[in-house]
Amino acid sequence: MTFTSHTQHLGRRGFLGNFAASAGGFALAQLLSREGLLGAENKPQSIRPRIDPARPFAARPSHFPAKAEQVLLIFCAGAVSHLDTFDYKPELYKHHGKAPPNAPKVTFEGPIGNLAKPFWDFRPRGQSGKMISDLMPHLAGLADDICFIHSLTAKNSAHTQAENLLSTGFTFEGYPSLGAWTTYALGTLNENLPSFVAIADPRGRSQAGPNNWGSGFLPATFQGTAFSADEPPQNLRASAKESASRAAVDLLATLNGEHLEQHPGNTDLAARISSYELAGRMQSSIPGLMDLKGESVQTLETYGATSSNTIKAEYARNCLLARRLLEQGVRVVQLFNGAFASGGKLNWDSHSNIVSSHGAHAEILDQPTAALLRDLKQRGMLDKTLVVWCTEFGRLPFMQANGTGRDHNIEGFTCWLMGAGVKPGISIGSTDELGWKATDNVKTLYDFNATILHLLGLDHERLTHYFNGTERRITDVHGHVIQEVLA
Amino acid sequence: MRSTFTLLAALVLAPLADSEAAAPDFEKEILPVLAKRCFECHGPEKQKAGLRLDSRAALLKGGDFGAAVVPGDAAGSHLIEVISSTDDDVKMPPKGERLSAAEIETLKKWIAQGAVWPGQMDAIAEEKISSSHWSFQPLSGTFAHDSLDAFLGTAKAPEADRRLLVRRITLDLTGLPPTPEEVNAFVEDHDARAYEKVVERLLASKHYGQRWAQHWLDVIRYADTRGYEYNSLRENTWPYRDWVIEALNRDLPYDQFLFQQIAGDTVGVDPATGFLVTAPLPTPPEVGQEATAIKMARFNALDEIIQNVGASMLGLTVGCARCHHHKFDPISSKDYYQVLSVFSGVKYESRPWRDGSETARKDELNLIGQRITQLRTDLAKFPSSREVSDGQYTEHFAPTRAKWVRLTVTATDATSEGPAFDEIEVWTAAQSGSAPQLVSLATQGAKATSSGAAAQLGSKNEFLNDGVFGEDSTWVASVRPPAWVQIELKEPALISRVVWSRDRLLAKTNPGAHAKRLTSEWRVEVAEKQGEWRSVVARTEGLDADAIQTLHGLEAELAKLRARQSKLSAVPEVFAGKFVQPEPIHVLMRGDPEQPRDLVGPGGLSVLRGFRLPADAPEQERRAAFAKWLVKEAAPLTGRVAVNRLWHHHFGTGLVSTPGDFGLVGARPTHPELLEWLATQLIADGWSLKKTHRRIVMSAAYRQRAGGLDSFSRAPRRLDAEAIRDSMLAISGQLDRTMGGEGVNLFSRKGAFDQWKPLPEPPQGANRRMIYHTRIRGADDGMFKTFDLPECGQVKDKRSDSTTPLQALNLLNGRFTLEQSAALAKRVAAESDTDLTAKITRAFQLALARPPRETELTACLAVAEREGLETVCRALFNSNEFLFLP
Repeated sequence: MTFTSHTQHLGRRGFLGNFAASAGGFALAQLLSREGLLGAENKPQSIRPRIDPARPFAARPSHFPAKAEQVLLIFCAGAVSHLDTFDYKPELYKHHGKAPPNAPKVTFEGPIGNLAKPFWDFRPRGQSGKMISDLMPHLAGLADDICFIHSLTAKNSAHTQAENLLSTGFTFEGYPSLGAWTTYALGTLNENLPSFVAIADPRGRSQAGPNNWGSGFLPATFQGTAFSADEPPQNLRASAKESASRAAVDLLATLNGEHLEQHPGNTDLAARISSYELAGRMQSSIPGLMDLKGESVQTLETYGATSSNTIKAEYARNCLLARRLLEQGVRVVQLFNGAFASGGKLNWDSHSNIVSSHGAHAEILDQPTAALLRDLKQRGMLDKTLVVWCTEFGRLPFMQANGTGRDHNIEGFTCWLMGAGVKPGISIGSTDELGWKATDNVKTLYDFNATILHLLGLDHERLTHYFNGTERRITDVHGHVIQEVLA
Repeated sequence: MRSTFTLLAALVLAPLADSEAAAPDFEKEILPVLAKRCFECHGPEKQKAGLRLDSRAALLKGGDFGAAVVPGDAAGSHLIEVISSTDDDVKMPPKGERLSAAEIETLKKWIAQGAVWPGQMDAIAEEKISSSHWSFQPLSGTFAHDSLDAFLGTAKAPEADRRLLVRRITLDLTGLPPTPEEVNAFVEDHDARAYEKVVERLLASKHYGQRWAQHWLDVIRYADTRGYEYNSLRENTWPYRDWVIEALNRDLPYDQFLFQQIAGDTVGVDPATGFLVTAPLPTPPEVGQEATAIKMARFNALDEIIQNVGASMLGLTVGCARCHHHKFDPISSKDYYQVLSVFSGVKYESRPWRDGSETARKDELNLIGQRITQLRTDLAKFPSSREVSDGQYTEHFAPTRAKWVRLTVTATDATSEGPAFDEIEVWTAAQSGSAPQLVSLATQGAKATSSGAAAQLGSKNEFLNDGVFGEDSTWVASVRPPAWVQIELKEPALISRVVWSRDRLLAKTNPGAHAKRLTSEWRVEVAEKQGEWRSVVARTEGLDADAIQTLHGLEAELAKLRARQSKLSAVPEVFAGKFVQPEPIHVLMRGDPEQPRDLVGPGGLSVLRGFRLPADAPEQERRAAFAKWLVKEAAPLTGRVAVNRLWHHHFGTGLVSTPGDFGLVGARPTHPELLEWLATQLIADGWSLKKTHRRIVMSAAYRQRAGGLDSFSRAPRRLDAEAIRDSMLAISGQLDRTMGGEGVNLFSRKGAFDQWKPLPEPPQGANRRMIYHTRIRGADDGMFKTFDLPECGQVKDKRSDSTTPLQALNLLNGRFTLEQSAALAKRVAAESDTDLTAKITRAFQLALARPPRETELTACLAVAEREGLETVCRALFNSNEFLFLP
């Protein structure tokens, strides 16, 4: 068994900032400025999207050709245990009940307990024989389509900071989300719908909430629009009479038209006029999209939308909405499973009673998500849709002192990808024999995000925005595309 | 553009030490290895990580990560660590062959024996940072022109139409539109000073501070919640917000404005240092229990302060030097940790607020104390009396013998809940020579029972007489009133007083929250023999009407005075940082608290002749020294940043288009001379911001028509969220102009975590200016978040200015718009003739500062007749003309 020391895992050069790229302090800055190269220091040139103010969502070219045009981000909030789902660790059975070697006395939430074997049995799945537990039998059936990454590492053991890192590349508040970066770069495929939709879990928002779909320092245009199957976007309709709303819009067009004549060629004014036209088109397209009446009984049942478990049924409806949004050309759909910390009741944060807590959440996640993915596949949508299944970190191979739950683990955990551009049925990287720390082919969330952008045809080093002293990107100064993922 | 970082090695020749037989030959064995394998990146040409290895002094001084070599300690020398490492992230050289084992051994031996470098044994490396970058230079002092327009040179477009101009200047300076009366007065004022008079009026308006304070608060992401997972409310943040508004309104000189925000406590201005602690911060449970994480969180919190200072005052991204020397600007890691040392005693906590009322409060308390003594004496003459204060209820009655005392509550202030007490006390009567004594404690053998304690809340009877106060030791009734509690004394006693309380601690700390479930009706009974109850508080028995009136009057006065007394005794607090003497601060290698290097003391940035204090300097002295340095040595920079910020807001883009970054990567000024002149004038004017505003807005450049010439061709630009909302309220006549005080919270939070949702009904005060709304980080009000309202996470030197269909949906359909449209329709109906044309005209004048044109009027009339006037108002509130600063 190999264990690296607890404080070393971050990789010294990767610590916090951009040392590796700093290359030489003032002297270099001096040299570069003399040469007129400042800001260009070995750096790939930024590619700035050309955004037409009147059509901010118009589709824009990717940096290079790519299969994936759209992305579905399935985010399981609270941290899913990789050890009880996708990362099979037979050694854990042997060492069950023993004290973990070289372990700290306390982890995130407090004192630790003994090693614990997985709480669900594993069995081989599909052609690949990938070992996946019985916790998620439906998703397990998709093993041959999935590309697992088992060696991910995060930087902060707290949920919000870790969610921030996963979604924005920084543990701090206020940075743009992956969906915002993507739509900033690429616009969308259907301007009659929001370019980026964040579908909240029926039980509430995840802990970092709107940070996951925020625009940070990018224009607010690119923030995600929050709605779900049971809750339309806010203010889609006014509580006023329909005829009054129409009259207001018509009158507005008259007023704005006359005003524009006094400022010919002003794109800001023109953009605002078109934003009202776009809003009007959204008003007519969204209700139809949310109306699931057209779906067959069989589809509803396959998704679990008729389940007596009302939360599962609502999550299933969200899955159906996700499919419909993707069908209509929405660029980024972020689908949440799990809300905020609540002793493991409302999300995956199973510090105690992991069996009942993970069990309940898997029951909600598994069938509807698998149905959605099969549906996408069957409709051929995976040819151009990238699917990302992620969680902010994993859980530890040993129990907490309470003996019934697992604490946070940022040193090794699993997320997976499937669909457009992704090599199916493979597993990348691994954790140590206990599933504690990533040891082989260790990857960061920067790598993960760089890979997602790459699959969408975007170079993470060239997708930048100047803010507060430097060209910012979602991978900070890190990130390498995980080449093994690419089909 | 030239920036230099010079390493001066003062070389002093030293006599060569006798070399031992085993000592490596420096010239043959050491220098060639260093030269061949290291100098390429760490020599005269390049100094990666700020490190060079081509002199002994440089080796000892090291780079970003501290010393490369510690003479005599090979194992502790960074050089040995990296050449021995196989970690891809650490190993040196990064590429090519590793050093041979023999070479490494020789280097180790050389270091162990003192790293002898012939001829350089007494050399020391001195660091001097200088820069020729424009923003670090002194202000020149001589100028070719003396008016703003002269610097701009080019011909201006004609002055804007008066209606546009007054709308522009009013919205710009106050964030509110001019009233039709103000518009008319200006249009009709033929005085040559007409415009100047408007400017003076607006600068003197209290609304000026409310507008411009928000610009400042944006930069430092002021909000009233903590952010992150809990995102809970921070109490008492608002005095800082009020201080900023007030400081701007009275034109507090900008140098003092900065000084007080860094070190206001040294001059008795407490709220000002709220500046230091505006950043979002995870609470301890969100940081976790790992020691490394706790340490890192502390440094993160300090870094946030540096970000505030950098972005708002210095216009530098000082934070970039946290993990390594600043990549572009002449700011070293040492500089960063010196500045960090300045603020390392700041805790994100509240402290007592000396708001200037101390003496008056003390005097009043004395008077009240005297009067209370008198009242009690008077009340003691009655057979019984009652006192309610500080959450304590006291019944005084004529001395009586009792073993059992029962308090029965027949009503509480809350309709749905039973009573709750943290304690009930029984006191003996004063007897000759002995003071009253408490006899009801469990430790004295007394026993508490009740009609039932709410066990599901963890409540029990024992809490009633355990001598412990507060929420954690509170008896809660299991039933709604009537409910009773009872004390059985150990032995019968002559008693004359019963006291009970709901929560004595809360009553002191948060009287508002305490005022729930208070007792409103009750009776007290005693028994000497079990079951033989008698009422002791037959308060008015045997008294005539006059006496009863007197009793009630005295009781009422006493209650009032006690309430006042407790209010005056509570020391107000302000969330403006708590200051403690800090721990020693070290340069942290790669920003990692686990890798401390050199000890540093507090100081300013070297490139701006930063001051230095000893590492153990008293906390307050550090901040005061820094604040002085900011407005003295650093004044050319802080002055430039200040005037540029004003310019940025007046024109939409700064002379430097990166208002928070005046460093090498930041934009160059479009009009350097003008910027220098404005900064020079600011300082010459005694740092008066209002004079700078005046200088800018009086210019022809500012007053020109939209679509004018050069870079100041003013295109209309969209109003920000606050200006839109405040304007709508002002126009509809609903604006609540109350200034200051605690914010109005338009959100409520479900559960312990960040799940803020807008309240279903706007609370009292919702129509105050938006700056007085409680700012919840990240919360979505369903209306204005899409209008680029900052999330208040990162420092924000300028807002984005976006246009989205979601803005359109919100502004068109949002409840706020519908309500304000209806209110405006009602207002114009009340203020004009019954004629629809007059009403529409009035609405235009209010919203757009002009009457409708013929075509507009026709269109509006048709809509008003069919769908009501409010529909016309709704369109007006969505119109580009309304939404854009002309």
